Amino acid sequence: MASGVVINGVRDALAVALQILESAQEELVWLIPPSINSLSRNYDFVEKARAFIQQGGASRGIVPISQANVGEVQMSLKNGEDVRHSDEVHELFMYVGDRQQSISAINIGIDEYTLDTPVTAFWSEDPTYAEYLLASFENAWSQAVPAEKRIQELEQEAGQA
Amino acid sequence: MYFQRENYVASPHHNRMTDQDDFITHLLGFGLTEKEAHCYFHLLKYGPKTPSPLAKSLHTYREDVFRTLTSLIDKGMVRPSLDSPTLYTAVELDTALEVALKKHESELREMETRKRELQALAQQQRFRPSDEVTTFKIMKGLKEVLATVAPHILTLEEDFFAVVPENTVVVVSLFGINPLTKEFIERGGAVRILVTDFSYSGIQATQELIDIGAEVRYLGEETAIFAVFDKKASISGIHWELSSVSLDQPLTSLYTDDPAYAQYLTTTYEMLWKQSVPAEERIQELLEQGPPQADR
Repeated sequence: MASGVVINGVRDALAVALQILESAQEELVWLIPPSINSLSRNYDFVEKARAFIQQGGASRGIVPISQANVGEVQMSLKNGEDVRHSDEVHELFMYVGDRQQSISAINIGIDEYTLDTPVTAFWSEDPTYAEYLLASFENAWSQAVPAEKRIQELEQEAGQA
Repeated sequence: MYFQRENYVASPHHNRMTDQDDFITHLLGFGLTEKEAHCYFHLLKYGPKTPSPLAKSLHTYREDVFRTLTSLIDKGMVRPSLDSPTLYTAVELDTALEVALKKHESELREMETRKRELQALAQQQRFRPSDEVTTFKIMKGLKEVLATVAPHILTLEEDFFAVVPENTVVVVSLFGINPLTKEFIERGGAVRILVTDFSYSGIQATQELIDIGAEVRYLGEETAIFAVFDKKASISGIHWELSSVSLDQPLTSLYTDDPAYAQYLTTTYEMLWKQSVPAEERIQELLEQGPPQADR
């Protein structure tokens, strides 16, 4: 039988990610574009991530950080999330909980996502699929810059301007 | 909520609001994105504006600020004028926050409904009786990938499509995949190949695919690598940085016969296909440019 579900639309993809966040016990891993990170804030991801960390969970995430989203990232850091910055073009976007549940989508070159952007994502509970996603994540993580360092750079740039 | 409703201040000039950053942070707590919060704050502080000067003040481009304004209008925090050029005015803070809060609550309710519906859908799909047994298998090397691809092409019935970078096009040419593909096309099969990028040195391998009858297009952007066989089985790859043409190259790939995964890849493929151009156009462009200086 199929071990995954095709998800169409940003809103449904966020609903699945929220469900993954709510059911995770130990670990969350995410690699998302900044516009999706912004949209997730409308659905209490920040508050739920904080509760998850307070209960002993660990969250690691990669998102491109710019002047436009520095405050959002600071809120994640304040929550205790480990965030890194990367400007690289990532092949996959993902949200993975406890190395099992995941939602992922292939990067098709969309600059900015809204709730109405047509996207296709894959929701899976297969641990092998999660392992595959995590291999991609770890590669991106090893090349990404700690958010604190990136924020410092942005503050210096803003100071010079 | 990140920020309790009773704690917010009624004005950015209020003495409890130390600076712009605090104000923006509080707006984020009301479900605004950072761009929306900055835009709203600017309109509130400096008064009504048209998109162009607003974009200049916010150090962004006009289309971006227009999208943000549309979203703020939708959230009831900004009002457009009816005359032309359209002036955008921030709604008074108390009213705006009340509207934002209601909108946020309604979005959360809608999200809860969607979550329940999706959970029910997933449950239904997982327990659907089926003879199909799905396999997910991780492969760690090029040799294993080619050994999996070859038998699939031999037994293909309808179609095969892939999105690959230039180095993969070269590899399949060198390791005997193209004759199998040609034989499949001659049997009446359809083959579509989307090349993410290729340079002058990739012309020959790309042309070879065109010559055997595959429909080849050029995307010009990086994306995930994958191939789908008869819309059933698939192979996906990540970080295929093939530095040399050798079967011993390590790479991470996923093989699966999950039909839902194949459907997901198929839909994604069609989106990418629409963004691409015929490979002949790219070849022509490269031929006109000539070989790169270092190759001469």
